Amino acid sequence: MKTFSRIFLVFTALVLLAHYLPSAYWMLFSGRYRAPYVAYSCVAGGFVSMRHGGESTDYRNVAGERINRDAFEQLLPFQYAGQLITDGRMPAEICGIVPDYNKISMERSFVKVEPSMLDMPTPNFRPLFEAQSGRLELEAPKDFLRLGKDLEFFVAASNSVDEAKSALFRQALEDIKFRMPAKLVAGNPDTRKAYDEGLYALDADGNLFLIMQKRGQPFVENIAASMSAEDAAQLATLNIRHIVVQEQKNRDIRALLIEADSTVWILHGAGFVLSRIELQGYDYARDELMLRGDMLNYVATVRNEDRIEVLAMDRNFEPLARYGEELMNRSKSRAGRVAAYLLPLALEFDNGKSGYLGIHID
Amino acid sequence: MDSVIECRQLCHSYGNKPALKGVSWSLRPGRICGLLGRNGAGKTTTINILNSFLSPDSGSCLLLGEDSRMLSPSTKARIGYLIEGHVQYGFFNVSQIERFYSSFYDKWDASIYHHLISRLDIDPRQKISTMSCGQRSQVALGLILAQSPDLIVFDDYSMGLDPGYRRLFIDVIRDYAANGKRSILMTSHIIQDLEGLIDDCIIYHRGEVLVDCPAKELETSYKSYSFVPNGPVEGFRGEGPEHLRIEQHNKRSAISGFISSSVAEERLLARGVEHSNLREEPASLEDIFIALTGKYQTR
Amino acid sequence: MKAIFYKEWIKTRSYIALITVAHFAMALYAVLKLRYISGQYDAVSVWSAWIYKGYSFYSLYQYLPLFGGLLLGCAQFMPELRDRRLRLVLHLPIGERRAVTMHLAFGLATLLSVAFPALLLMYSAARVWFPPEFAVGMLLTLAPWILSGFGAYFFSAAVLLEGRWTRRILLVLVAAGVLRLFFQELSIGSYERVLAYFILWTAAAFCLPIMSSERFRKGC
Repeated sequence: MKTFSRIFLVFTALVLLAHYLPSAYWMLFSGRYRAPYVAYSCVAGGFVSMRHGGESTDYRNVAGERINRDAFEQLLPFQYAGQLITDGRMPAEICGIVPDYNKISMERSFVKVEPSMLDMPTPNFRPLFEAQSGRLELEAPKDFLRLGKDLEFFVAASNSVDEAKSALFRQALEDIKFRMPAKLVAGNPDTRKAYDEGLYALDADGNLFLIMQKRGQPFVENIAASMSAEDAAQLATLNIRHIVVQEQKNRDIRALLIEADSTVWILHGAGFVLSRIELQGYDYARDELMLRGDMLNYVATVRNEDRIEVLAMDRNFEPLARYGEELMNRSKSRAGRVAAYLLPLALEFDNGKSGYLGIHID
Repeated sequence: MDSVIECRQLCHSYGNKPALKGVSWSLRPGRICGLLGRNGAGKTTTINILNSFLSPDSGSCLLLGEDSRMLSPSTKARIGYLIEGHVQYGFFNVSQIERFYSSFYDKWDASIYHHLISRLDIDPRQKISTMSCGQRSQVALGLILAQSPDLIVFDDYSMGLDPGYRRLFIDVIRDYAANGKRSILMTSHIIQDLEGLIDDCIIYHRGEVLVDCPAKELETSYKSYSFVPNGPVEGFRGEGPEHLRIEQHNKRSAISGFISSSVAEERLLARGVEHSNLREEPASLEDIFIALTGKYQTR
Repeated sequence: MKAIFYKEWIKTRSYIALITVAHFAMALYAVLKLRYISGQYDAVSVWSAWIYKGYSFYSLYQYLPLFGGLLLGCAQFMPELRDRRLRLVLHLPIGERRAVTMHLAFGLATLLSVAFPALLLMYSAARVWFPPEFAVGMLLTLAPWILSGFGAYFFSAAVLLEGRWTRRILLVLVAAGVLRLFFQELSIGSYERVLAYFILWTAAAFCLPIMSSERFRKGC
């Protein structure tokens, strides 16, 4: 007992020191390290960058030469279309396309996946929007779908199950051989999104389904049945760990499928085309993934404290060019090198990469 | 069992200050023993060691044959212990506290407790914290006696008591111990109360046992004589078994120790103290105590 | 065992009553607030606050168990230290460690039974407006707060029983450092992965007051 209480106290004290000392240290010595913004210029056929310094911003062209802001904006005409048009600097043609602001803005897309979005306590209650309400804006439904062992719609106001609606949807899923319990359900609960893609769900056998509600009626789809045979065969081999749905105006990207080994697949187009994003060092538990799209390209950016990887693709997600850069961060700074000696152990409960508290030892 | 308490070579110090310098003594069964000493002589340290609230630096102490540092519950049940100041749980009333303690002791004798309590002018629902120190002392005493312990340790029972309650306390103990089956160790500053009560007397001085003998022997063998000195008298404290003390007083100075009058004469002459008119003075236990330990805290 | 519980009950019952009332009143207030929110906003928004933002609606309650544990620890052990009364307990004819364990067991049982009606009230109220997942998640969110009460209790007991000021300060620092971790996040479910460690830690903290009491007995 005596030994135990001693070990307990010493252990507790060590844990506390490993937690509080590094956080106090970095509060004192942490510098500001910002990752550069690296974009693909279809005009120049390469990567351009923008870095925020203390006073000024540093713009670089494809060759790595310093340029001014106007020149930088001109290299990214889709992104800065509004500014270029306002300034009267918009070229008559961009990579063979005659620019039309409405079209440019329509085709602009942005999907962002952060580690904490994928790893957070999420109650298994999801809104199933009315996808064809006839209204311009989406309205939050009055009920929430709980799809797990069973399918039930919970009406929030009465805190009870809408048995009739539940039975209707249950039957619809049964009809297309969806086998309970559902392994994974994903959707986008944002009411301000462009449209409603519906909910994607993996059934007990790992088959991917799309569940929608149109004019109160279930609209369910077995994705494999709706895509090409080749893609369906590919889809069957995936070990899907996360599904991210972020509706975009152009309705091209429908969902991101992230496998257990962090391979990212995109479901896009009306026929659920399955394309792999050829990222090299992505780890969904550690890295932030951004996917920017414009009329001609998709650009995927993977970023963590240590490095940034940018992959430019065409609209079919075929790789065009790749960029990588090691980033300056606090552990590479002088304070970081000192810290490695002073603070051999750092223990965090919240490392910003999860919605859960955990024990993260560095 | 030869002794109910046996202290063997107890040594303890607080920092650099020694409190006990190897004291050894024992308490035989059925005896009432007074452990006396000036403030800081080591009484409380000894009591704390006895009750295992203090581990001595060296030496050991046996209570009813068991090491005081690891008394078994069954032995603890046979030892009653009065904490100095009659400390008890103030939040209880007299019947609640009886209910609490009675469940721990097989030999619990509630009649002793109720007898003592009945003589107090208290409301049965009155909390102990609102009682006078004297009343509290009776409650604490009742709780200890009701345990029917084989050994009782009273640490400074007289603290805070007025003469009436002090006398009452002594009377109760005297009655209780009358059958000669109980062994009692008591410490007190009020030595006159103990006169005629204690069988044995242990006197501590500066962390050592100065005297350890039956109280009767102390009262009969320790003598105090006064004399008229012819010149200045130099004070003297002897270390030997005679415990010889010579003190200069105003008119008549004094010599005391375990000595007869003829030895007193010899000792004075030997120290060159010219004197006349040596006569034996009556000495109470307290007088003897003070003669032995001195009026001042001498170093 | 019954006798020690009886003593602790007589000693602390007014404080226990206070803690119970405070728990219940706070729980009731939290429930009324939830009722008010459910009346003011439409149910979908209230559910959304839970589902997307991890709202537990009961954050009012969070520090109460901590203070309850502290208060009970003080109510139980401060009187034992006045005139070093703990000696009375240690002298009782039961094992010393057992005697102290009984005291702590009483405190634990008290803290549990004090929190129970409040938790029951909050759980039942949550079930009126929310599905069971919310109510369970809410209880899990409350769990570290309840645990902090036990932790505060063990540490206050250990600090009080500790003789040396240096050790006391060390214990206070450790307690403050650890208990702060129990209040990091408010959203439902965020403690799920560390709760088991927190429970283990709190259970292990049981040994501290026992060791303090043994040092008390040995007078060091």
